Amino acid sequence: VPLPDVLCGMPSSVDAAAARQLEEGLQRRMADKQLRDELAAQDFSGPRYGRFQEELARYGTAVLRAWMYSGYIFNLVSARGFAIHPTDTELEELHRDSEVREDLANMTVALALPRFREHALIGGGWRHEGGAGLPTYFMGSCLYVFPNEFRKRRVQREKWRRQNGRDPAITMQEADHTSDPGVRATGNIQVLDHLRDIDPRTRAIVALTIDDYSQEEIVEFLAEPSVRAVEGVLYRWRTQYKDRMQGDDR
Amino acid sequence: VTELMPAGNEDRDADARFEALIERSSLGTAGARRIRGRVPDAEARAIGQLADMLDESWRPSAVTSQGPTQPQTELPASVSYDRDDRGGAHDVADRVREHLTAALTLLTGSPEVDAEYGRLRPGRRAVVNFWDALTPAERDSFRDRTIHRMFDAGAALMHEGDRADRVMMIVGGRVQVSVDYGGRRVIVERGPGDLVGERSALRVSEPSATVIALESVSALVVEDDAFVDFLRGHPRLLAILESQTRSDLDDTGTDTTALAGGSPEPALWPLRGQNCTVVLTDVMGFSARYRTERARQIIRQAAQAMMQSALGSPWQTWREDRGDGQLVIVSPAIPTAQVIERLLTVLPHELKRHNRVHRDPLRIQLRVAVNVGPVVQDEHGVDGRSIINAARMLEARAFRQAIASQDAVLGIITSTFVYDVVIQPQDSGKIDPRAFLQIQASVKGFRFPAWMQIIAEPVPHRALGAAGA
Repeated sequence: VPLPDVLCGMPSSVDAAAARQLEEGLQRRMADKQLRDELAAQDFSGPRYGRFQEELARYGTAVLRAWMYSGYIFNLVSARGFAIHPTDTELEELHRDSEVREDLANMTVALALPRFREHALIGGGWRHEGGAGLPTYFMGSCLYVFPNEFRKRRVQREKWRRQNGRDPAITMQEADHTSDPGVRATGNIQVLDHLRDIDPRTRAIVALTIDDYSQEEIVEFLAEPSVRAVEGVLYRWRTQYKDRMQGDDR
Repeated sequence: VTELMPAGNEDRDADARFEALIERSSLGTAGARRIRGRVPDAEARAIGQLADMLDESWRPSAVTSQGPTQPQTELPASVSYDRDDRGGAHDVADRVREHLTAALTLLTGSPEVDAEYGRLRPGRRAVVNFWDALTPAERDSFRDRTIHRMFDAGAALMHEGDRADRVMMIVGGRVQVSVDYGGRRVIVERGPGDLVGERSALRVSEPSATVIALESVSALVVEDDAFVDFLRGHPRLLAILESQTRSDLDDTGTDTTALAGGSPEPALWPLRGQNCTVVLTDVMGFSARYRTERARQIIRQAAQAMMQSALGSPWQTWREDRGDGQLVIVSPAIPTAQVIERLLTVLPHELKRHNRVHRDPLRIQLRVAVNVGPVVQDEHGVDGRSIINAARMLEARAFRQAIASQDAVLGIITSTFVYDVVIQPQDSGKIDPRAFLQIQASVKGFRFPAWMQIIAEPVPHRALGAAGA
């Protein structure tokens, strides 16, 4: 569809910024199609496919880690019908332990990449006129892999826990890390405790902001419409948080 | 050259256009670019390699029996078998070379020994690729037990001397496996699809080895118990691992048939009075009435495997099965401190593992005597005063009573000479002189001082250091 035609059909209330955003989105979607076609010409293999896969892996791993850090991933998989029901300990571990996030993210992406190639690219599952760009579609593939990987890790972790329980050295090393005041202070866990009662979207945005992700990144992570939308959520949360703290003081 | 130039330029232009296309796509938004920037190149490559490997169509394209594609380097002279004149040793070297050629021909279908120089071709790799040998179901089963880890170039995946508690399968990059054997000796290089640390997990060997990443390496890591559990479910894979192990032993130039006695080291064996470390073991109550013949057989095999795990190849040892124990003569090239360190770090864990699974009448309490002295060897076996004294120490009543009264898994007794010269000066942390107690031994009318350490519970190996091979 020619871009001017699309823009002509838009209601007058849509402001210039939104129009620019839409235009950029359409151009990127066309570039996605061009990218897919070029990779198809090389049978989705060879050095160029390797380069594309590397960038997709980079994107997918970073996004998954952020989703795990904020706990938002469980809302996403739940919306797709996978009920994982993470325990508080599991959520806390994902928030605190970057190695756990890294391990789960790497394995999830590594498993999702061949599936994505097979189904989305070769099988034609991804269509440029559909609702998602290539990276977003890929993240969808990751969300189908993640629940299984998380469950496997849960089983493995339980095995190790039982095994390590017999080894005094390990038991001592892992003893009660959550009670370490340093861990609690540096992890901003106290702030996150206040987030338990609010909606998942706000919780994710605040958690990612605390972890120094930029608003542009948060737009990508959470498929937010714009940076301004993220700013708005943060503004509303800050106001509520301030009111609540003042209320507590009183 | 001029004809090639434009083609090179065209390729570069096409690559640049492709890079620009990626940046114009949905991967190129401001947010997506920043997100991608959070993952380093090496990590992204490693994930790509892992994805390729997990893809069912994966074949080890970068792995061949001819070795890696990078420039090959000479193995240290100590593991090559030149046709140089070695005097009386020449026949032994020839025999080893023949064995090597035969074994490699058997495994690969073509000899890897250079016909002209009689030298093992450098940079040889494991012949059997573990991952490639697995069925899709076996791959899933293996992967389910692993976690993914990355190591920078030069990092040690495993340290020699530390207790091994995990097995790794290389996903991307190459590692070098080496042992300290009177100087560092390279055993083998391994790459994608190969295992490291599997021998310790299987308890078929040996002192651990050091595994160093030659480049950025990613690996799937599995705890040794989980690996054994995996093999239990797929017993056919034991043959593959055995083949890989055999290949490694061949790579060291060690004659595998020599492990039961003798050695391919012509300068040292047969022994003609060299000062060796003597290790004598005995299973407490081996012939007790409550043990059946079958129980004794299991105990004997387990005790042998433990000693093999502690002092097996590639160390050069002479072994003699004495029914309820073993006599092990360690090559004079190996420092006695290293032998004691291995006994103190490996045996307690092996015993713990055995006794966790087995209860009486299969439970093992082990007595070990360590001595040093001249040993001579002839066609009937080995002899030396140091061996006789080790046997006397083993029988010391105070030593036996200490093990029994503490219900210990292991007791180690040494001569005063070994304590004064080897143990007492130690400050490595793995041998603690303060843990030894002096006793006055009295055996068959002989009275002599000795030092013993009684180990009721294994020293937690994680307190001693990281994983080993």
